[in-house]
Amino acid sequence: MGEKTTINKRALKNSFIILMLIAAYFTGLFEKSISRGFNKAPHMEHPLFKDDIRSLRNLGFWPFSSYPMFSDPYHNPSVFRIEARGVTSSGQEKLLNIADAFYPLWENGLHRALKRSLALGKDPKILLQSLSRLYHNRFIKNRWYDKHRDRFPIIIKINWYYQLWDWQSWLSFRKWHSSLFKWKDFKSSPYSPTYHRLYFSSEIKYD
Amino acid sequence: MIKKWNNFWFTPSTPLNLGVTRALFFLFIFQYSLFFDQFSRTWSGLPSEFWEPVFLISFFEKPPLNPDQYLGLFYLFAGFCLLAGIGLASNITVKLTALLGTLLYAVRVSYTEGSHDNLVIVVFLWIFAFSRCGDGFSLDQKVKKSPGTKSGDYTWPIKLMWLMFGAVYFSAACSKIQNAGMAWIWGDTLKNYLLFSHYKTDLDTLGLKLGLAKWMAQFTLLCRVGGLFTVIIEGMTLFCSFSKRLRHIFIPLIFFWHVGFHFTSSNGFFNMIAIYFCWVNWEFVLSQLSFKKLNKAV
Repeated sequence: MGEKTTINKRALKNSFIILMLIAAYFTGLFEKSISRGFNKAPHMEHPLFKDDIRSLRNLGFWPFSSYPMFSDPYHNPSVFRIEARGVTSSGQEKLLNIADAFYPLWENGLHRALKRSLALGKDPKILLQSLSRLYHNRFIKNRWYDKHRDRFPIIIKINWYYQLWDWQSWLSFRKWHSSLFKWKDFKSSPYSPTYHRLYFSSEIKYD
Repeated sequence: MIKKWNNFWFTPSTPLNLGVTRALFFLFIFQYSLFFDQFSRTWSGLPSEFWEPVFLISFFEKPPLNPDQYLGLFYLFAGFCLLAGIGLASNITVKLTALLGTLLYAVRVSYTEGSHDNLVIVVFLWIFAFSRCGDGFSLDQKVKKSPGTKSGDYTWPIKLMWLMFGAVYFSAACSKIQNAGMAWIWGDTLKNYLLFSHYKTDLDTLGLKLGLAKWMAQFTLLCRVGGLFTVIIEGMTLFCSFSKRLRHIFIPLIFFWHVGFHFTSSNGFFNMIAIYFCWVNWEFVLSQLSFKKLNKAV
């Protein structure tokens, strides 16, 4: 009886080991070829990501993965960005720092989320519209932010832009900042991206 | 073949090595969660439109936790990490920590976020959960006064962690070869990533102040050699599980590479330091320390 239990326990351990090994190495080696959304992903033709060189990262086999971070070739560096600008009631646009206004999202995180939503057949505009609601609930309804209106202005809508920078203009623009920890509006700088296009305006609904 | 398999996985060892690895792993995750992981606390605050659950929790059509509940889960996980770390009722706490950690991180990535830094942590949590990691270097052991007899049960979890560690870096090397090939191994890819990281804002603060990425990017040849070495070192981690000599060379190298990466590139995967503890022969380290202490006392 005791011997049988020991054998069963050993079989259980062996099964666990084999399953973990298969899952980790199979995903590691073949995730790219079997994952939905990795190849022929709809984002490749979408205007938001046409000039974005970074490939989509899927998490279909979470917590196993092929760890594709930083694996894309990066020949002629260019910088693709998504920018959020709040529009005040007087029609003025104010640059919103994505990491501030929509935390825990940050620029790259939002990028990935939009890209992944496209691969999963969702319209990225739905996500952007929902961020307007988040902004409203967090910073407009909450009176504490009245003291910080320079960072979180009262706005009626958010304009979402996408822009592409050539490397030299980008470097010059970033060096123009007094500190690399800060982001400033390129419109107040002598530098501008190759293109800067409006993708979507998400309205803020006031009760 | 079966003999080789059994020799590799089940050669008897004392519970000390696994116990120290458990303590350091969970205490590291505990302090990381409390002091560094500001991201994981707030994911549930995002709109439900972002919800796209990973397979493991795909039965939740809507976010299962509101922001307060999620924050509660976060602190509960951190608390259980502490208990598992000190080895209190470890048979229960380690399993609960694995369950809570899986839920916490699965919910986080289900907001279409796509980070890869907690994946292997979840895998390690389950290896600990299925092992007898509380038998050594724990409060349980002190209370029970167990003699710590040798068993294969203390060997296979460490070996499996080695191979999971190898899977992470080996897969990363394969991804680089699959996606970029020579452009990564001997091209300007690394140089451009370094420059890009320096001029973005999500680089580590100290890294940005030191300017290591910018400094390194000045030297094209150094960056190319760096690219080549990255792929070689990452790829070789797979074989470290089978050779002591390779372990002694490549594990310190990948550790220094990982630390260097943290200071030169955005998203430095600081929490993955936790998976390095399994490589140290703690039994040897502790015996050396106590030997020195004894020598001093004499």
